[in-house]
Amino acid sequence: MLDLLIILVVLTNLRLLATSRLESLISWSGFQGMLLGVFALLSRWSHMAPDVFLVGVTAFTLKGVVFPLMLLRLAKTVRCNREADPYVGFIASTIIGMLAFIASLWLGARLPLPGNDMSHLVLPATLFSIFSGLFLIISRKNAISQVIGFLIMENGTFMLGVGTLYYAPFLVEIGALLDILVAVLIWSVLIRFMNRAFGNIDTQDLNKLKG
Amino acid sequence: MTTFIHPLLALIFAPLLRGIINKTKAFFAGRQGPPLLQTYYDISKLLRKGAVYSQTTSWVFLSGPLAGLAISILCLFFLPFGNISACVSFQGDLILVIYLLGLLRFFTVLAAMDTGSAFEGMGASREMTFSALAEPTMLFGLAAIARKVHSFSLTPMIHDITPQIWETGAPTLALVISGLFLVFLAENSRIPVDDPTTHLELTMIHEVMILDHSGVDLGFIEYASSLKMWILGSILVGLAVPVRTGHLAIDILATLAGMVILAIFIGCTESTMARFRLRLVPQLLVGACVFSIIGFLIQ
Repeated sequence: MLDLLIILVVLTNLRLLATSRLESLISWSGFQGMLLGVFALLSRWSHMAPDVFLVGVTAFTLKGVVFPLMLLRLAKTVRCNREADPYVGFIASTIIGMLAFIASLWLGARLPLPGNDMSHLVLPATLFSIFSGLFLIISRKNAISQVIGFLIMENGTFMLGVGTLYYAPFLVEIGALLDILVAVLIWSVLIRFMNRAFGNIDTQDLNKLKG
Repeated sequence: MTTFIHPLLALIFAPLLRGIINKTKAFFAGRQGPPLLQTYYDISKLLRKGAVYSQTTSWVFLSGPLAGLAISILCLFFLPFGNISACVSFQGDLILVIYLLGLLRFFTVLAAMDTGSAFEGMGASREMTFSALAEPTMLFGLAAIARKVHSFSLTPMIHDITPQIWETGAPTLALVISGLFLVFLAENSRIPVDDPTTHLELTMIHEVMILDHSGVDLGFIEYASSLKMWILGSILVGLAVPVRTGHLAIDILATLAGMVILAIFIGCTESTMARFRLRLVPQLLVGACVFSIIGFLIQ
């Protein structure tokens, strides 16, 4: 069951790499957030405690509902180009994604984590999420896609924490989730400013800021 | 004797699959639809007619339908049907089956090119482009299963797909089945890749290649494409329906029921989806390839 969830996360990563519409990018990242919330609950099902439950539910609502809604509203208000403006096309992105997944499997097999008895796919999937997040950040011009790239990277680290430790301090996990919430809030303010200054949210235009 | 059951079943029931698909589509559209046995009527009518040949065609054009039918019947002898072994089975026969299907396509394309019509050449080029993308999906998908069950022959491979394998390897099997299902749609020219009911439209793929065939030849092609649907379907159903009781009647009935459900499912897919733009088809097939490669990688 956990393996199935992890593979769904991997597939959503590939879908994100291959999508060209901003709306579908946002909603697929939301779907991945929901998957991670369920993953957090299921992976510790046998060690369930109130705070563990709270972390899972908070992750589900924040990553799966709140962030996508905020980003969708943001995309609506800045009325940007609905295309995600990739530098790299669909098929090339998918192939790069596949290669990154192979690299992550190889790395994951070489880096055994002590005490990881949940699933041998956690580490490769985590690395793959981080790679895909980075790839989204460097290959898309649109500022909102870059925010999503960061969220995907964070999803990866969240999965690593949840998938390898049966118990992490409640404050640490909730603190990390709150950090992301604040980061998304700040980005949405910044993107609004950017939209006001340049009339679009193309990160290429930031080059014009050179004095 | 039991080994010849699958070819016999396939030869008898293959055209029925199309009838079931059409009935399902008619149900969704609120029509009565053509009779369940319409494909049989069509084929028997075509077999009674004479064929017309263009003067520009050569023996290549004549050999296309014959080779197509011969190859698809040959394929049946290498395929197991659920728990029933294939007539011939050896290590690596799955590669033979995949390339027999490739040979079938090669002859269809050659016959289409032989007419000298630009329209058929276009269809041939599309067919080759898409099948070049579909072939790795099949190879990787079957290789993933082969890795799972440690056998490179179709009969032991399908035979080993038991409920236990489904418990331990559900992700791999699910990924491979979804990849193969997309290939099934593409290879049998179903919606969303191609629309089998349209004629003379610029986006069609398979139908355009057989426009110049008539009479007996067309009957052969229709029958061969029904058989091709059965061939790919029996692989899919063999993976998806893990009923291995060892009791002949139950195994056959379970797999036949699987084929019927597959046909109904295709009917539902076709009724609820529109055909993709031609530009999107390679993306769909690359997606299918990704499914089976991931299935191959995770074990």
